[in-house]
Order: sequence, then C-alpha cells, then structure tokens
Amino acid sequence: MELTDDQLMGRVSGGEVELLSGLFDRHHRGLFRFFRHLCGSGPVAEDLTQEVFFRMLKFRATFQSGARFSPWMYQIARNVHVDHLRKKQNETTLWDDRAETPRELPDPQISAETRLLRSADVALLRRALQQLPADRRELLVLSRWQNLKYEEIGAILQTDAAVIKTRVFRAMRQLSDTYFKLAGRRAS
Amino acid sequence: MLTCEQARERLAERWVDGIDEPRRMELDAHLAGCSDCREQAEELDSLWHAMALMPEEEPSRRMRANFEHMLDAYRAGGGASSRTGIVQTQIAPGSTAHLPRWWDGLAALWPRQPLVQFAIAGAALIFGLVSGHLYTARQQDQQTIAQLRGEMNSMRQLVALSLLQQQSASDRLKGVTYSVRMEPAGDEVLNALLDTLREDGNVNVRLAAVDALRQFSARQTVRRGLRDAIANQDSPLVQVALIDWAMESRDGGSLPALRQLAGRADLNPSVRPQLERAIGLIERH
Repeated sequence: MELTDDQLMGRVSGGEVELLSGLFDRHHRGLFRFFRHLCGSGPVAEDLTQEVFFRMLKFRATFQSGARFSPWMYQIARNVHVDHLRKKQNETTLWDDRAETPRELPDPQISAETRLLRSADVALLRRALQQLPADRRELLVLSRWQNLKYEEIGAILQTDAAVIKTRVFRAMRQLSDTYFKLAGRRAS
Repeated sequence: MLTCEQARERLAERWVDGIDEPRRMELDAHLAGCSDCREQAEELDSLWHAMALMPEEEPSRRMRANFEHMLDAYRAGGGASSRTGIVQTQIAPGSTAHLPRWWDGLAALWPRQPLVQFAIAGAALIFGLVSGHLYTARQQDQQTIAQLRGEMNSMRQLVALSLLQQQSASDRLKGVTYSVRMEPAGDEVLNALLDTLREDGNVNVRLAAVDALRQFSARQTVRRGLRDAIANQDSPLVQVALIDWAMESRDGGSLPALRQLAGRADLNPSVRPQLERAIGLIERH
C-alpha cells in the first residue's frame, strides 16, 4: 500500500532521507506553481521550490509524528518566500526584467484575435496579482491555484476558516479593482 | 433572507468549498433582489474563472536532477559544490621605441668650442631629466590603467562563468546577462554560453543564451554554434529565437540546419510558418 504524505515525512524525519524523493515527486509541481504565481518568475520559483525541499531535510526533526504534512510544507514555503522578499529588497538587480518574463508560444488552434485578447488579459491579470499586497496574493494563490479548502488554508495560516473566507473575498475585490484600473475600465 | 454581508461570505464559500443546493438558492434569491451584490458577484465570478485560465508553466527537467544532487550531497554530509573556471589575464606588452637615423648628420653641426659644448650638454641633460621623468610617469599610469582594466575584465569573466555553472536557473540567467555586458567577451565566456545553449535544462536560460550570443555572431565559432543548435533544440521557443537570428542575419550557412529542422516530424506547427519564411528569405538573398 502506498504511504501517505504524513507517513512518508514521518519516516524522513526518522532518518530515511531518501524517501524525500517520493514527496518531491508529489509536490514539486504544486510548490513551483505556488511560487510562480507569488513571484511572477519561473527560474526564481524553481530556486525557491528547491530551497523548500532543502529545508524539509534540514528541519525534518521539527515534523512531529502524527502531524499533517501539507500545512507543515506550506509553512516552510511561506518562510522561504518571506526570506526571498527580504533578500530581494536588499540586493541590486544585475539584469533587466526581460529575463524574468518567459515568452509564451501561441496556440495555433486559437484565432489571432482571441489570442491577442487572451494574452492581454492574462498579462493584465498577472500584473494586477503582482500589485496586491503579499499576504493577499498568497491567499489567492492558495485558494485558487493550489486548490486548498478554507479549512486547509486556515491550518496553514493558523487562522479560523471563516476569517480566511472573508479575507479571500476582500482580496478578490482588491484584485478586481486593480485589474479594471489597469485595463482602464475603472477610475484610479 | 440573507444580508449583503452573508451573501458575500457565501459567494467566497462557493468559489472554494462549494455550497449545497439550499444554500445556493438562498444566495441566488439575494442576488436577484440586490443589484449591488449581483453586479459585484458577476464581476468577481468572472475574474475567479479567468484566473483558472491563466496558463500554468511547468518546472524544468533539470529541477529533478538538482534535487537528487542536493539529496546526495546532504546524505554525504557535504554541501553542493560549484565548478568555477580560472581565467588568465593577458596584459598587452608595451610599445617599442626606435632611435633616429639622422644622428650622423647632427654630429657634423656639433660646435667646436668647449664652452658651447658644455652649455649644450647641460641643457640636454636638464631636458633629458625633465622629459624622462614625465615620460616614465605617464607610461606607469598607462600600465596601471591597462592592468586594472585587465583585472576588472578577468573578474567579470570569473563572475559570469561562475554564475553560468550554478544549479539555480535564476543565477544562470544572471550569468548570461552579465556575460553580455562584457566588452570584449572572451572565448571562454562565449564557449560557456554555447554550452548553456546546448545543455541547459531551462528554456528561459537557453533563450537568454541565444539573445546573448546573437550579439557576438560575427565570430565564426558563435555562428557555428548557433547553426548547430537550430536542428538540435527541442523547445519551440528556442527554435523560433534561432530562426529569427538566421533570418535577420541572412546566414546562408544556417540553411542545412533549417532544412533539417523543417524535416522533423515532431516540429511544432507554430514554428513551421516562421521556418519556411526564413528558408525562403535566405535562399533569395
């Protein structure tokens, strides 16, 4: 029978570090997308994902037997993100933003007009998301792209699910305002 | 009947957890009677759905290898190491001076009186001392500047090479961008960029390498490397970048590689029109 995440991490914590590969297989894509939406850069998201797995190894003893893996993993991911933001504030950029923006290949099945509209909307939505405060952006990433329920987000953020629900609504409202302002369809 | 506050909360509940039929009907009843909430619900609902349409990027294949490397290093009790290249700095030798050949002619004009000879010798001595001092000081300054320039270039190359060999994709991107800023870029840096284009697992890094190498495509080794890459790249994005380069530079030497690429069965349909345009343009040139 396949081991659950909690069981696998419990054994990693007990010293069977090679079992971390199983957790990497299951979660590296999800973590990569978490960071990709938070930071807006693929290469940075890869680095931060790698850092999460490194810290899982380093701090494996802090995973207590019977604990749930997912909130613990996201706690580490959030700390990695906070450290990244702090580091970013202090460093001088060596290169321009061009390298940060991956180019997307157009899908030949979609008409040029729809493609243009869609790519413009997506770019605008990305910009709007990046303009949100980090905590609100994080809430939307967890709820929309990580497909976590309010209870699970509450466990990660150590807050009641009802509070998270209200915060998600507020974050959506702010995202909507920012998005339509950027689109020129709402006054600044 | 729900209040506006309760309706908003239920809307958020519907996005993430989902709501059962009776609760949905309550929400719909409120929205039917409250234009403010209805307008807001329509706007936020459409945005929530649009967010799901945002394309998801996949992590690069290299990530798995990096993870295994990290795990091995951890089990071995050591840290991950990075290779760094050693770059030698060559300082150009100084210029050589030559003596004038009209010296014999001047000797005939030399005065016979010892006093005049002494005065001329004294003046020549003073002139020699002063000009010798000025010349040496200037030459030392120039040598120091050349040495500093050499050291600076060597340092930049070292940083670029070191960054290009990092496990982190963003560091390698920095390395590519940094190497472009070097003037002139050394062979070692160009070779590292070509290696990156050939072997890097991250598409963004390879794309940046193509952009960087385009600036040096006047060099034969770089042109050859870019041509070789055309037929060997699997990523459509990198293929398009290389096709653009071949087309812009009207590089006739790229034609065999472009034709080889056109013959590949797995070629992305989005790449083909640009590829055919490039082949036609270069053939006509």
